[in-house]
Amino acid sequence: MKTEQMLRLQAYLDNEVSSAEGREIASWIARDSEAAALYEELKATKSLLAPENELPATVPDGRDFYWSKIAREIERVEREPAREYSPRPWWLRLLAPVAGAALLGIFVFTSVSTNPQISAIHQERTDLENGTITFHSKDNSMTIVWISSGETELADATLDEDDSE
Amino acid sequence: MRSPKLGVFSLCVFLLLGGFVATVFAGDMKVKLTLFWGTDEEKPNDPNLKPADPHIVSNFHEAYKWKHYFEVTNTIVMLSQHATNRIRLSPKCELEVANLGSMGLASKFYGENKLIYEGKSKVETGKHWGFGGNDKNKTAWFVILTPQ
Repeated sequence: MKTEQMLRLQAYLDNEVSSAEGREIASWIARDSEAAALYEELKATKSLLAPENELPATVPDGRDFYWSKIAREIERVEREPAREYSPRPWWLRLLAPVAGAALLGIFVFTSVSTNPQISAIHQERTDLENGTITFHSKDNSMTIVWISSGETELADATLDEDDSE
Repeated sequence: MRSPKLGVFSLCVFLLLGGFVATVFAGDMKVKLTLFWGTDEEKPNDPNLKPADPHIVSNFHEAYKWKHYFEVTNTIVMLSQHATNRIRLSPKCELEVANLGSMGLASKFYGENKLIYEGKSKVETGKHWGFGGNDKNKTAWFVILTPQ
């Protein structure tokens, strides 16, 4: 089969011939088995290449396109007006250390003021059997509580030991 | 540029650590405990007796009648804040001392294991606080606490 005949078959398949030429080619295909075979082959090929038969495919971005997208994003961000740094007000910045110092002060104050152990310069237990008389020296360097409970014999315990030897 | 938040944080950490260290190490108190004996005898037989400190003797003389005062024994103790130490000054005499920090000292005095006196004092460093009582043969004993 000549190339010109093959092209005519292809033109017929693509509806690119006049109606008269179309009828002529149709009768040729009906008579010639070789032409009919080629026509069927072309027809099958065309159907395979039809858009509805194409598999979905995603063409990956090219390297240049990929980097150009990044460059465009950088440019876009750089064009945006920079956000101004807004520091917290001075009183808010001082809040943490002041609060810490206040807590420390409260802790110290409460630990001192709520200490029930002493509330005066000298304090003593009064429910013991012994009576007491407190003496303050003139220069205020000594305070002695005299315990009047008779003889308690404490200081000369050492002497007693020595005597017993 | 250094962040202002970091500066405030560093300051807080420094203050907290400083306060902690100061609290830990500032609470100890060194206290001298001395047992004295007051008598009219000029030279007692016990060779271990030492003449008492003249300044303390002059203070004793302001209030008490005994002519002579001798130091029977003394000991120096290191008291941690809010800790209580029990010290035996003689076979019959025991003292329980607690360091109350800025509130001074608390003490319990035991004679022959009997609580004789319990008191507290804001005694200052170098000053004396103590208690005394009659002893046999018209003598007297004194226990003096002196923060160092």
